Amino acid sequence: MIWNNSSFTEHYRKIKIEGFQLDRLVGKCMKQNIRIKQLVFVSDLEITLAISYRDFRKLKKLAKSAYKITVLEDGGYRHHARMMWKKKITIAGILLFAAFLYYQNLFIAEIRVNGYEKIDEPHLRQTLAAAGLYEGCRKDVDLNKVKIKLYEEYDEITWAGIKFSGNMAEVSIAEGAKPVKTKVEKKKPCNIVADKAGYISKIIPIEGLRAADDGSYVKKGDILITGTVPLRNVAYGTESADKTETYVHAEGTVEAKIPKRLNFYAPRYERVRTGTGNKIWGISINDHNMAKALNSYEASQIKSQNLINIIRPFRLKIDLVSIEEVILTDREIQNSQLNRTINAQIRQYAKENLPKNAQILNKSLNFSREKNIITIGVTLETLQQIGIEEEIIVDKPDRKSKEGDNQRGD
Amino acid sequence: MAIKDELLFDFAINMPRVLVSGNTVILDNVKKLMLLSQNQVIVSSGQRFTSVTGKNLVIKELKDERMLITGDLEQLQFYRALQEDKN
Repeated sequence: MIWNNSSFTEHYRKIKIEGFQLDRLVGKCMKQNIRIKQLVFVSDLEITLAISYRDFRKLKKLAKSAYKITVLEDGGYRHHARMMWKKKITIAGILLFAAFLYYQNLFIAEIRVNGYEKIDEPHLRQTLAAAGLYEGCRKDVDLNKVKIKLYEEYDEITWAGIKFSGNMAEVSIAEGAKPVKTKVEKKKPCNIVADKAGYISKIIPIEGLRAADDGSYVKKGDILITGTVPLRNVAYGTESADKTETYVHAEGTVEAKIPKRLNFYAPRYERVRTGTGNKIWGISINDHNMAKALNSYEASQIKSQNLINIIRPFRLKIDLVSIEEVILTDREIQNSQLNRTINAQIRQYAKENLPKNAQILNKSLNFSREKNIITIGVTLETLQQIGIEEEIIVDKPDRKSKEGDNQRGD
Repeated sequence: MAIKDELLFDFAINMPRVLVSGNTVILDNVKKLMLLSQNQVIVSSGQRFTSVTGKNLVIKELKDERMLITGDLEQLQFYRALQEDKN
């Protein structure tokens, strides 16, 4: 028996045949090598069966007009492909969705930070953002640069690792002990010296002798409390009788008044915007402001109010934007207005540059107005602790050379 | 079984060959469909007729002289034409 090439996988039809002597038609199909599946005898006058698309045409010829054939259902990959081809918009939509998923996959949607103990997370996230790793950035960020930034910013970080897991960046850090400044060992002799220049306000020696008077000016490196203590030895005939001084580990508190001159600059005039009442309203999508195209004002100010701001499943930020027409005028800034700003800047300077225990004793402001700029000279007088330990290196005389001297003396 | 009998079995193309398993019957050497109904299928194998009786019978596949029937099987019978009818 020769088998025909009909394929149910390619394209098949489920049909209903109505008529008399249906078994005779099925017998004819057998003779014609027509492959039949799922033949169900519904009644004496009706059967349903599945047949391949190629055999369906043969069956129709066999059935002629004696039977009524109704197609109930189509199936097979070819049929489905043809159906899909008819739905071009659906295909385009699926492709667009796939492209969209791929595009979304290029960005980081979430950053998770693990392993921090002493460093606070918001500060870490700020550092990561400054290095280019933030929620919404592309995945091709230079990770080595981010790690170097972390190491530079925090001395405590001993190891940092970044890995991507889907759209999430996992930042793992390991903290060690913060390196402390090396001090002179407790047993070794040392002096307390000035680490910066200033006028001595108070010296309280605990060990050692004071070496500077109150009110005197000292420069960096000058000895404030000396660890070299003069000795009046009464043990004659012993080796220690030659010694006229002894060395101790100097200890104490030294406070000094340190003057500091700072210069700040501020514009002489401030720009004042006065609204005319004319406004253009618009919508900004992902920071693309469409209302800008309609802006015909000579001077304007933009105000926006956020309506939607999401990252997942895609980045979408919609703002309500208003562009208001303004008139620009200049007004001279008064000293009283500047005082507040300058005081804030002084506080910021003190926070960044002065030690924590430093006190600001006096400050004076001097305003000097030039053509377009105001120079503010600030003189600060601060009270700071300025003493640091410095080891005393004592040269011990060589035993052999000492013995030689004794022999010569004999 | 002797080799002769096996050869006769394999090459007997006009005799019914039936395989029954649970609710499934496979009929080989189907030459002609004699009767088809919801409760009975009768086929001719040339020299013999085979009748399958049951309920809700469905011909799952019909190809290449082979018929696969499923349903609640009740009876399987074989017939042969009378000599008088042949004459």
